[in-house]
Amino acid sequence: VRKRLFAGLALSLALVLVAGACSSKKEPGSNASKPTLTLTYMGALTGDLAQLVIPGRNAAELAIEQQNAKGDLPVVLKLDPQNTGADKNKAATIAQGLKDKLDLLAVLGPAFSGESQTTGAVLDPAGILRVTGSATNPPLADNKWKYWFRGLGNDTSQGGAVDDVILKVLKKKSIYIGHDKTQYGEGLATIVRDNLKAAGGTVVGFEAQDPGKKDYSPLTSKVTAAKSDVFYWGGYSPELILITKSLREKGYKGTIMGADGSKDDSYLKGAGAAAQGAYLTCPCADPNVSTESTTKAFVTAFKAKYTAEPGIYAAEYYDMVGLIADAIRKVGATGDISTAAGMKVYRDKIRDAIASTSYQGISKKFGFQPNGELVASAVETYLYQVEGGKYKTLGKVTDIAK
Amino acid sequence: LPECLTSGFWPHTFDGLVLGSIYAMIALGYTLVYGVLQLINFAHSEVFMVGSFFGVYTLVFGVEKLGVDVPSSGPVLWLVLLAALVAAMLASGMLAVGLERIAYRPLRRRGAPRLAFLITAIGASLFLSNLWLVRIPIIDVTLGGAGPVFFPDVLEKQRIMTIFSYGVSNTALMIVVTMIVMYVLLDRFVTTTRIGKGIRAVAQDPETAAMMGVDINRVITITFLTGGILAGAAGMLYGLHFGQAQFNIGFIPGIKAFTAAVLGGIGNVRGALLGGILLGLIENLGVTCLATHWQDVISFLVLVGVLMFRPTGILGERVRA
Repeated sequence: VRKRLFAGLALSLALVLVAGACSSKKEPGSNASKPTLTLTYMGALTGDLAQLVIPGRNAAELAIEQQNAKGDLPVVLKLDPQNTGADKNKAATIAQGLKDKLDLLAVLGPAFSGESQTTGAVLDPAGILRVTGSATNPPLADNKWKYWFRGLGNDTSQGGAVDDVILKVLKKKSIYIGHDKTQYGEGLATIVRDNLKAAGGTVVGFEAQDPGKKDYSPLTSKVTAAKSDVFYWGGYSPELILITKSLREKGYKGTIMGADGSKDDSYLKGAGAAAQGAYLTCPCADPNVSTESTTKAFVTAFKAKYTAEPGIYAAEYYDMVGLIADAIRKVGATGDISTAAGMKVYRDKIRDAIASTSYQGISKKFGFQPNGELVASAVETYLYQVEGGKYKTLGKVTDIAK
Repeated sequence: LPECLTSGFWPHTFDGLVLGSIYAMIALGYTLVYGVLQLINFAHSEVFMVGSFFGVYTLVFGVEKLGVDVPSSGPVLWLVLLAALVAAMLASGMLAVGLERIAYRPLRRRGAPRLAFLITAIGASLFLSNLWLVRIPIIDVTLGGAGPVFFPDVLEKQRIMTIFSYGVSNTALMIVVTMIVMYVLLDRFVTTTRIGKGIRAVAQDPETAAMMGVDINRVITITFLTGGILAGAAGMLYGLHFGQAQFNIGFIPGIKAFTAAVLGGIGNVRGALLGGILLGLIENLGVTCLATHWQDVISFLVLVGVLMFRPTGILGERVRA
């Protein structure tokens, strides 16, 4: 028995030596001996709202692949997609599982505002970094979270752009507002209502709707009867699809407007011809129409990998990974990250590097305020219009509303 | 009169009629089954859901495999829509019969308590809606998926008339007309045919009916089939009207239709019709001058009110066609 044990030991020793020799032969920047750290992408990967979340997931996957291929990171990054199903309570449960995960470097997301709120309560005290490229509800920044950054403008800026669009671009006056009672939808609708009133517009109606129904005819009958110039939806696309179709069917002549939560591919597909002419705002630029070489390269790589154009928030999550990779490079040596205490020190260093970043991404040049919001110079709201079943970029609201 | 009422009365009335017709068609299924078995078939909302899916399957098949135009017109359009309706009715009818065979008949044979039927019904409902949600392993097929499945726009939705400045769409009109036709056929079926007599006999007294030579199992099968066919038609039209089918599409209409059946008097065929239309109207007219999220509050207040003073519903219980 002893002989066999010795033989085994010798064999494994030899194997280790050979492996060591092999790895030392490789190019500098090989990833073989580096520790692997996970980036967890949290969002609704299935369900009605998945079209808002999957482009970001794919972009994150692409970005991680590219960053690892560069070979100069002291760690290897790995994507871990977590499906919240747009359920904020389920997200909180997932967060409970994440908070003690030793190899977790950061959370990409959560994608929506409600789940950002519930997971923040679990993950922030645990010192887990979250960088969202899509949750836009403003009060998220009031949580005094230390480990949370928002990589796009919030709904205060988006909602503030809506009255400019209605009064100055469309030159309309009256608006009927509906919302879906979610943290995101109701928050945005309230901001739009207050801003429009302050700017001299007329708010004809302001109504809450239960999400997840098929029949919104009481609302659409009211909007049609009220003959408002604009119908505005604060919420997500599944409801706006049904409302848009019902409004047009009832002969509503006004303009239909929505926001980033409705600006996904399923809105175009579901509402079809009824969506023609609808306006949508988003604190996100469409990378597909960019003339920047880095953005073009991203679009090409994305199309090659997923045989689809990068959809909503793809550029944002591509940048979120870039932002983290940039912080990793700045921090340099990881130190001992095999223990919980060591990992905490490393995560804090990464967090501090992001807090003081001036990273140039494909969507914007990043810089953060102490509350985790972008600096004002990085915030822009873009206006889109549905034309022939596609989103046509009309430009930055600040430019076209002059 | 307040402005909201003058401008909103007719639009909300029509919305209510359309929705009420859907409720009525589903409620008839609840009430028929309750009439013969004193069972609330909670899986009935999934029978409705399957109807909307078979509607979409037929239309998609027509467009992709048979080259039906989107949108199409004339006889082709009517033929495709009729095919979708018939497919939905057959699928739902067969599913309802299958449910009775697999889920309820074994319990009936063993003389299981009422609670067992109720739990089985809820289980069957959850099973079916999840069957349309998940990817089925081995055969690797998704019947529906989590998101909505959109109807191809074979029928171009358009306003075909305007009544009191309210645009009535072709699908809305189709729903109301189908409901009336189906109801008249059902009424004739229950009152004049032999098997209809059997249904009424079983509803009044199953034991005596059996002694008089009524084949109870056959009557029950036919009852489930009839209810399923009605729900299938409702499901297909509901899906066509809103342009989508989804695994959970039956949940809300199912609960509302159950409410409607109770409102009208469960077990009572005319009560189901009355309850359905009434509930649709109450839901829509009730919010003419109120915020729309009061919809459910108002309709359930009415239900509570009716049941307080007439616990058996407006027209009373039992099949008395």
